[in-house]
Amino acid sequence: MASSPDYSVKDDVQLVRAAKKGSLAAFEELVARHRDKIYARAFSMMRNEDEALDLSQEAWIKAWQRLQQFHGDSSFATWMTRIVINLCLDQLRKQKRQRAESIEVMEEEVGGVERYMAPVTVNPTKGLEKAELRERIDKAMAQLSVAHRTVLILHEFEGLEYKEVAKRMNCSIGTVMSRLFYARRRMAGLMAAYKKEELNP
Amino acid sequence: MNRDQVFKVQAYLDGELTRSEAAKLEEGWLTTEAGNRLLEELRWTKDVLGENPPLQSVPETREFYWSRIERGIISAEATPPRSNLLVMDFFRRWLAPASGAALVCLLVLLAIQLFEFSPAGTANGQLARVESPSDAMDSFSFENKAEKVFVIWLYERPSEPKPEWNYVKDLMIQ
Repeated sequence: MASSPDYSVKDDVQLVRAAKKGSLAAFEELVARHRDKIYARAFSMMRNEDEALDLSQEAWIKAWQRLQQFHGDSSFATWMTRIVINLCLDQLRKQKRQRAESIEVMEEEVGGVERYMAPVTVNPTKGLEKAELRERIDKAMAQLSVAHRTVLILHEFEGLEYKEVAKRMNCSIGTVMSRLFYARRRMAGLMAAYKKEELNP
Repeated sequence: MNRDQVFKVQAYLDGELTRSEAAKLEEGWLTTEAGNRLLEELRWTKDVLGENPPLQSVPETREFYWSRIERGIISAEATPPRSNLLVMDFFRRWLAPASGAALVCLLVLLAIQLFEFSPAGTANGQLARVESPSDAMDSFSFENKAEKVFVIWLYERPSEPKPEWNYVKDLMIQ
């Protein structure tokens, strides 16, 4: 009787090849390897644990169905991240259609207080441990609007160019520039405020 | 600060300007203190985010998380192919209501045929009950256009059950 191969010692390329031939065990190993990253990306966009779980699992199912379309032009993790981001964007669009436009959304295009805010001069991350810094970034990201958070994720974490971000967000390059600018400024402002709180509790 | 200027500073930072645009900015607005401070702030945000992507762990065990994915894959593979679904969708959307409407029309026609009264020897004869304002009397009318006959049958309203259609039919034939 032939024993099943030990997929834990194989690299992503070998696992993808085996999964393309129909091996669910190989695919399960890929899921185990990258599930945290895919879930983290979904969570950073949705800010909701249940939605992030659902969407990340849906992304894995879609990935299995489209595996033959993956030709290795990017890494498997990058390809997976794009799938989950697209699913999150679709979900956010559905949610946006269901709720009324708010003043906050209007201000995203023109900048709220960020437009007139003086540049932050202190270094808000000075003296912070890596874990503390991540915690603050996460806290600040949670305070951003959906559009601002999405543009930061696509540009800063995914490294997409303006035109790619615009395509995914279904808006103009000008809107991407505007959203990105105010999102960055708001992040800087929030991080500086946390630093101020720390210095003057 | 004007919007175009600040967006250009950002595009400069992100490498989205052409070489000549970048050079123009370096010689112009970026030589000012305001331009420099803004560039520094934007650069700091870009760097800190790029170096610290969010980390989040799946709040479920490997087995539990995978079991749902596996179920999803198996059920998706058990679902009929999309082409079959399209035919079923088309049937559900168009053919089912159309056949329903056709069936209703057929039933209506049958009902008309059934309730149309044609006694022997009289073609196209129609019997109808006529509303009577009197409590004591009741009436039926009979019309045969081919024979150019129109008859109204008046009778005393019985205290007991009303006359059946067959009873009236017999009377008409006589």
